[in-house]
Amino acid sequence: MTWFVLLFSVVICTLIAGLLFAMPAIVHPTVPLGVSVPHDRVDDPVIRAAVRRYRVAIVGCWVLAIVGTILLADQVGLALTAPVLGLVVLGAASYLVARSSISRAKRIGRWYEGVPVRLRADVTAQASPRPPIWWAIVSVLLLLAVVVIGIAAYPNLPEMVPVHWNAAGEIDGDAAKSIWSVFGPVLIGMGVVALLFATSYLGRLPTARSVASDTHEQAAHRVDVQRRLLVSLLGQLGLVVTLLICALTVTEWFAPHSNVLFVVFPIVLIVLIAAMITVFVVRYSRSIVRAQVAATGAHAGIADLPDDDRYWKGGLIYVNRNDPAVFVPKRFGVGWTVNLGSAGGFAIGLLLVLVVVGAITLAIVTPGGRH
Amino acid sequence: MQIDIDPLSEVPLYQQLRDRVVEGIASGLLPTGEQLASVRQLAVAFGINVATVSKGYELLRHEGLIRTNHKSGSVIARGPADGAARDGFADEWRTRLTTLLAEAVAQGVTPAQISESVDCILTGFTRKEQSTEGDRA
Repeated sequence: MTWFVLLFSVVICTLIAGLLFAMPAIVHPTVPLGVSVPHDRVDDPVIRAAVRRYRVAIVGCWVLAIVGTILLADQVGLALTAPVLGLVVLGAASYLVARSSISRAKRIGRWYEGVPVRLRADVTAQASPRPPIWWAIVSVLLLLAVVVIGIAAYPNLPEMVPVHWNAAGEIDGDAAKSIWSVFGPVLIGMGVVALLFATSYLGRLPTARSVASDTHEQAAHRVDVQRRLLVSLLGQLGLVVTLLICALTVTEWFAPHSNVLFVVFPIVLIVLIAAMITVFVVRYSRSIVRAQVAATGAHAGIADLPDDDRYWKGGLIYVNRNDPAVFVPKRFGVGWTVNLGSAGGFAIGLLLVLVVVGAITLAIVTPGGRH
Repeated sequence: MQIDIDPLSEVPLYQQLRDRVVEGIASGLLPTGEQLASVRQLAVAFGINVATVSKGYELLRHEGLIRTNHKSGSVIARGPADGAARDGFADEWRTRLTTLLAEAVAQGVTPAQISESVDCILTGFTRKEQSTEGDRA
């Protein structure tokens, strides 16, 4: 199993480090390392130097994480968690140090003095992105297929069916055969797909912000692409959950003692999620790069967005009580983050903290986990 | 239609919002019947207070330029081709125009320059109108 743990950790670390390394090229150039700057300053030597330092540091963190993984290879639990955790913490620290030099140069050089600023939005009603109907149909068909297989196999299933496995892949819980113990996971899958489909309607909420230094056409295009990508991401997530549940259920029915469950599934899951994230990031960055190329050709806007660094704690956490948006596009990252200054955003933030704290507590308290 | 508002300007944001919509109607970019974003959607898109947008829409509604109902939201209620203005509009507008012209004259702008500006602005409106009609054809 050692080789597998090693590979797992190396792949995850490389994926995270790759994303962190690429991030300055993906985000809008007027927010390098999450600091807002006027568009005529984006090529400032201070910014170039800061981004270079950040990237060198990320490469260093990645090397450390890989070395750490190899050194910890004997201890499965540590090898899986410590390098990833270390990479994230050190990466965040490098980011914060690098961005502070941009903030300082901006403050001392008064970069925003005399720069015209504008807020921009579309006053006409926007067509909402279509819900991810095809992803949902495929997911539901797969789940129904599993139900049909289950009904056919039901009479031949043993009287006791396994419902829980420990970390080593051995069955440590079973239940009497019933509709619930046999079809429970499929029902949960249906619920998840329905929930994600419903969430895609909420996907209309996170309005992408227009950037005032773009032309009006680019701004509209960017907003449109971001919303469509979010909706299709939700659809893909539903399909990944469905595939996982279908595979788990079928294995549970026909080969409950198979080791396949604990070797193949995590690999497939990681590959699928990595593919999903890669596709999202590539499409997202492409839409932004395309908009930028057009901007240098066409007449770009003359104004900038207002300097809103005071609402962005570390360029990562957004708190703005005057902003009614619950979801806002991330400064340094792909996708959206919540506005902790809005009631809805605060509730979501609180829920996330509770879930994380709950999961950690459960992992510590529950016996029989990793040894 | 994307509009820009200046958060540092002395002109209140709701007034700027109202002004940009009026300009959009004059230039034909916002034709009669065009659906506007809801108050909340627009506030979220700008990242400003819902009350500010609501106040801007209220001004436009009061002027008869937009109309709001619960089913279809806010739509543009009239445009350049929809007949004469309501009673009393001309007098009220003339008062504001007087102030505006007085500002120019007081600052030494000549009548010829004023006429030229007026022509230029009016041609700008119709040119935009024609180009959008061309896009649709």
